[in-house]
Parts: sequence; C-alpha cells; structure tokens
Amino acid sequence: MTLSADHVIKALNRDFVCGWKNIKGSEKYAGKSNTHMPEYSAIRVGNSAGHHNVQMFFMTSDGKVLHCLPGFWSPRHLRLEMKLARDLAKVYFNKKISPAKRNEIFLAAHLEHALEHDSHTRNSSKLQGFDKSNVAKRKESDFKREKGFIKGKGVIKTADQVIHERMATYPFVSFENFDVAKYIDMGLKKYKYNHGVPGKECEMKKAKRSQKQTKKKYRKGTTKVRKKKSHTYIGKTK
Amino acid sequence: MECSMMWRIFFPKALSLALVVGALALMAGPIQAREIPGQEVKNRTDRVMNSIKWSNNMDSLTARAKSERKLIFWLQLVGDLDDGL
Repeated sequence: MTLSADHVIKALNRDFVCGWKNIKGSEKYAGKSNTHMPEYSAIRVGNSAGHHNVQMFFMTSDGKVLHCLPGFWSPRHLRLEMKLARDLAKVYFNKKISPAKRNEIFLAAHLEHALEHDSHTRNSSKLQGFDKSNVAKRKESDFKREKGFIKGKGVIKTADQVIHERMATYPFVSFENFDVAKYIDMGLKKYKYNHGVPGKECEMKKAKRSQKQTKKKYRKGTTKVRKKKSHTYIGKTK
Repeated sequence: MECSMMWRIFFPKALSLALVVGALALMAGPIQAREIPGQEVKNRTDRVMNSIKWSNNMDSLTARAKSERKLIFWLQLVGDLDDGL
C-alpha cells in the first residue's frame, strides 16, 4: 500500500529504476505466512511488520546496498529512508572522498538515524507482539538494550533503531554479499494473525476475544479474592 | 472571593475546550487500526503495477540504472507483486 502513494511513485520514477523478485521457494529466509491476494482486505501495521515477506533494497547502479527496509513501511517514513539512501549515493559517487572516509560517513549516517528518529517514527516502528515475545525470549538479541550501540536494561528497541544499527555494519556492501537472512531477523517468519485471509483470520479474533475474557475474569476475580481473604480472617479468629 | 469568581469564569470554558478536543480525537479514530477494504487494496496494487516500470532482471536493471544515472530499488517479496503475497 505504501508504494501506491503519490509521492512514493513520483520519487521512485524520478530517482530509481525498479525491479522485483518473488523469493518464495528460492530463499531460505522467505516468510511462511498464508497467501494474501490483492482483493483481500488489509490493515495498517507498524514499520517492519512482515520482515520476512518483503524487503526493499536501495542500491547504487553498480549494486552496492545503501539501505534495506524489511517489511512494510509507511509512505511518510519510507520517504525519509529514501532520502538517506540518496544522500549516501552522493557520498559513494563522490570521487573526492576516499573509500575509508565514505565508509565512516556511511556508519555515522546510519547511527545518526538510529539515535535521532523522532517519537512518531519510534512509535510507528514497534515490533508486533508475537515478534517482541520472540526476541525477548532469546538469550542474545540486538533488540535488547544490553547489546548494540545504544545501551540500557530490560527494554526492547524499536525496529527502526535496530535496522540502522545493523546497516551501519554493512558499509556499501554489494548485494551478493549482503546477509539478508541475518539482517531481517526480527522475530517470527510467519504472520500470526492472518488478517484478511478468508478462513484463516479467526485466529486474530479468537486471540482478541480470549484476551477480553481474561481481563474480565481478572477484574471479577480481584474483587472475589479480597472478600475471600477477609472472610477467612474472620473465620480464623473464631 | 476573587479566586472563586475567576474559577467560575474560566472553569466552564476550560471544560468545554477539553470536551471539544476530546471529541475531535475520538472522531479522528485510531489510525493504526483502520482496515483497508479488499477493492481498495486491489486498486492500489493496480496503480503500483501501472505507474512504475518494473523489471525482474537485475542485470538489465543495473544497465538501465547506469545509463539513466539512477539508483536501483529492488523489491523482494514472498509471492508475485500483482498476485497473491
């Protein structure tokens, strides 16, 4: 849905030549979600949702990766990331800058994005619940604030931050040498809820219904527990 | 006395302002939860296919990028761009 936005189409036609590839069955990192046809309904998701199903690469004309966005991205945030790719391309093609220096600039640019994204971008780039649970359970993950350039305890970073931290370690790497599987690893390979897929979407509704029921029971249960404790206390004194 | 007078003047205005802002926020709705109907998804997919010149061949894309002095946008997806994803 992002690619259909007017300003995205305009930017792609102006600055890029566009290609695509179906990775189903040909790449091990390809996602395993159920097929979603164009006529099925869709919901808005956060940036990087569907990281194993979609990857957008921005490359120089000789195949050096400037940036990679896994999953779906909102038109607004995609535009900002495309600008970064264009800026890095200018650095790459500038003969006055040495290869060592341009790699430094690449690193600095991506880390700056990792640190400086605004709150709207951060809030739009949170991992989906099942992905968050998956990375939180891992012994080691660069989504945890104990690792990486930006440190802190117990918090799961947002996808936009991790993407830029990972990209910083791939300065102008050729597409053939780019470790896509490692780069897009952000949780599960399969979309858990199947929204819009006829016959499959009940899982999401079931999950929501059971969450509501659990909350109701908890609220009722809290009141009962309090009453029961006082009753038991009175009983014991007798 | 003066404080209570001030309170009587400003409190209703503050309350009505808060109600208006709250109503506007409710009308705006949760953006993230909005569902896009299937027909609209299809229309947008068609637009993407018709508005952009796509290629499946990386070599020809590279040659075109060099001749037109452009960058490459390479989209990888599970499924076909104009079919099931």
